[in-house]
Amino acid sequence: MKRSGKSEHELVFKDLPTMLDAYKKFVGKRSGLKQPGAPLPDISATLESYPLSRPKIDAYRKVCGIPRSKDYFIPLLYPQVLAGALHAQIFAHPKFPLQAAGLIHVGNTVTQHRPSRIYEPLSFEVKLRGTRPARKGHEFDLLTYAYVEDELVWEATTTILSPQRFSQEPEKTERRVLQAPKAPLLRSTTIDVAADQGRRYGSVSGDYNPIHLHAMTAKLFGFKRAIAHGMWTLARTLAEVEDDLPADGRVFLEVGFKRPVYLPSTIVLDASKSNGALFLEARAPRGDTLHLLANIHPLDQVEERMTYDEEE
Amino acid sequence: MPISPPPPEQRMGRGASFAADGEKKTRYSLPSALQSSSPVGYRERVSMTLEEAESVMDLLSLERPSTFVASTTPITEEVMFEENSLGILSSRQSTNYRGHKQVTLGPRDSEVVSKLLEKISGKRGEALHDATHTHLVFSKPYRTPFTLLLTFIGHKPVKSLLGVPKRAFDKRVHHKDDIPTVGYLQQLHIGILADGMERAAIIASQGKRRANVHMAPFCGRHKDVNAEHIRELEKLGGLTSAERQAGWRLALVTQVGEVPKEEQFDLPTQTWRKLGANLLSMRSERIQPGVNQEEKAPDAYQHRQDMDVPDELTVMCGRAAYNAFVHWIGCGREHSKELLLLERIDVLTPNGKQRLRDVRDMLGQVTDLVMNNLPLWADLPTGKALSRNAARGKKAFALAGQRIYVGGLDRTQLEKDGIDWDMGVRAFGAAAARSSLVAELMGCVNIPEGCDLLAGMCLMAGPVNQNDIGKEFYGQQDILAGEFPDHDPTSLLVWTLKAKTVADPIGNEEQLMNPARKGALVDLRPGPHEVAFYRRAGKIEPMRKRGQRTNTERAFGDVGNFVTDPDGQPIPGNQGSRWPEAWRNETIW
Repeated sequence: MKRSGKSEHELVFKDLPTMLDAYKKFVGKRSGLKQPGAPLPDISATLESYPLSRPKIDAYRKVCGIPRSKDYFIPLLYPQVLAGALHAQIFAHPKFPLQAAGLIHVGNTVTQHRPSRIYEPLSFEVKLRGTRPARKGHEFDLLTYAYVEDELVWEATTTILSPQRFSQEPEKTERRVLQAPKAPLLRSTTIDVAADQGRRYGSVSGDYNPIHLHAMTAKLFGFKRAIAHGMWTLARTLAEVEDDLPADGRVFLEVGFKRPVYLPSTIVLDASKSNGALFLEARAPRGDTLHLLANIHPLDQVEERMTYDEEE
Repeated sequence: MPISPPPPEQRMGRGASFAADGEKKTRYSLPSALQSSSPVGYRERVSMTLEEAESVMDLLSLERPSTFVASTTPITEEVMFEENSLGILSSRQSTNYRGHKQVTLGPRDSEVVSKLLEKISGKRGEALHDATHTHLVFSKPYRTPFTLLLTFIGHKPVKSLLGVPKRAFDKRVHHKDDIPTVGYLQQLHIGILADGMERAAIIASQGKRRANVHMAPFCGRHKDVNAEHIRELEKLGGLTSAERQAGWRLALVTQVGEVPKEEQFDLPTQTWRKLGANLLSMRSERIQPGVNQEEKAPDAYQHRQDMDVPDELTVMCGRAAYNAFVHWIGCGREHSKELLLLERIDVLTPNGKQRLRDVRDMLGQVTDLVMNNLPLWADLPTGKALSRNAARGKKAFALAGQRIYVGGLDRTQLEKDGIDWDMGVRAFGAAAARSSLVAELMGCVNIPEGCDLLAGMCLMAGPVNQNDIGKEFYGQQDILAGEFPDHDPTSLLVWTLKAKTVADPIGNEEQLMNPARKGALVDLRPGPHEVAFYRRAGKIEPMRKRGQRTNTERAFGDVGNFVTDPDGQPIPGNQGSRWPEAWRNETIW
């Protein structure tokens, strides 16, 4: 198995840990980061050969509205769902300096080298990287790699914001701003997001973060109502464009989560296509509240561009 | 018979735009978004050439298929969606009435139906074998806020204390109507749907499949004779006792199958697609008989644009009505004029103007009588809601249009001919819908750039119901009595033909779609999961409902006839999203 190097603090799992295990360890005060951009400890988590469960994947599909694939491919974001438990374990690690309860998922990239099949056990490796100063705190990344035996099939960068007020406004790191091009609409649909959406997604992802469960629990964390999981909003948006994705399943996706989707609500999902790339947008039907912006490029196109950039 | 557009210098399009930030949204603004599971959406007409329009006219005089042959193509979910979109999901319906639902059976169950149909009496056509699928359509009595108001009408002051509860009880338990025409509305809607289903099957299959619709065995006296077999069919369709109690009954059975080559229709794919998209657009934009030129209306609505509904088109629409009536009743073409009575009022002629005034006065008198005689014990506690509602009738029943048909049936003549009344009413509904379709299709021919639309028709039962209140409670005569003194007329519908370039404010449509207005007005464009079901492996499943996901696809959306603002900016959610290929390609049975 060709993997990245050893970490200072390694968490090795034989089975997928539950989120609940991690939640117990979230309680208690953390030291925090003294300065903007201070490094995070080198923590990693690995899980070997995890067999996938068809009923669980079907339940996930149902909640996200994804049709079942003929070739038993797993949904694009499903490895992220599984990796979520490992992410939580890293946040629960005693050396992790930030308060897990207030972390905000602000963006993600996903690279699918090839779609994996339901009967192929996945191995995971998650690493912590960062931090960098952001507008409202520290931003850091969780790098996730999914392997089928030795083959890297899927990788993702999950960008997390840890809100913090600094006495002195830090210098901001430049971040790529996602923008939808002015391309003709491919799809435009309005969907209802039910009041219990957070609980439903929690039941298939294991993510029972109180901000998603109920208005009352969400209020404890400063939200006026419960909010939908960003990864659900993205998965539901992707479900609309399932047929527009490259046939070989090799894709590069980047998403920026903007304003939360309060529950219940109605959102408009728009998709347009330009130069082979898909541009997705989830927003409120009235006004200009944007919930997420995402781009999906065929991986070959991205690799080609990278090679070209390197040669340049 | 195409309609001449106004001279170029007069032409004006509606050009509705979104309300700007901070600007108050009016009925002239574009809706800010659409949330609907219906295949219709906000659509515009697609211009057809005269040749295209002529080629599709044959679809308005379809004969029953003689036989079905073994199917060469599988019935996929996609096929069924397009067929239902043109059938039950977009059938012309009266405000607030969602009175149909449909259960579709696969080929095996269709054979069972076929055998049952063979045993059933009163059929106009043969029961056919080898159907690819069969639709069982259920219908319920016409009940809306209007029928609630009717409960309070026509009572004597003191007797109303007992009369109102009695009538409410009879309506609820025995499905009795306050006035006969309300009962007829259920039958009219069934006829309209039946006529639409014939075209839906052929358009969705691009000429390959045809529908064999059986209506007569399920109404009137045949219904009682066939009761046992009807119960078996209702069982196949999963009709529950609670639904029966609510008045749902089997209304018609439509067998669909592939027909031999000589009975197939051959048209270019583009023409089929345009036609499908146009049929849906006609259920999206309405040409209302009403005055749009209110002072606050935008400029486009204020300009006079000279346009007429040609006399020839009016005649053509009348002919189409008789043809459809003959098709559904099975009588001779000439004799049909003794049964179906059509009075034509040409508003632009002096006699026509006077006649229209007389009709309006007659209906106005009824409204005044209704308002003055409403029981105060019910009206006052509700803040005079009942009388305010009744007063609205004056506006709603006002007749406006260049050419008007008032249609009805001769009850005595129908009886003499042994034609069942309910079947007559159903055939009349089909005839009116077919007549409208001619006008609507002609309104799609060579639509000039910058004109919203050219012509259309509005079918109204309101004036007839108002007349019926007059007949039942205040000693009035039928509207048609003067025009047909030697007949025994019962008027059933009024249709007004209009030609204009600026369509109705699109905000009117939003009222029908806006969830906040539900109860005031009901979205008449249901989603598939609400009214269309399949029977598979003995289970009844809603169409296009997978987990939390329901349809947002607009049928014939590939034609792209979606309403936009003048800069081409789409209405969010209007374009919809195609149902996933994995699901639409599934063979249903």
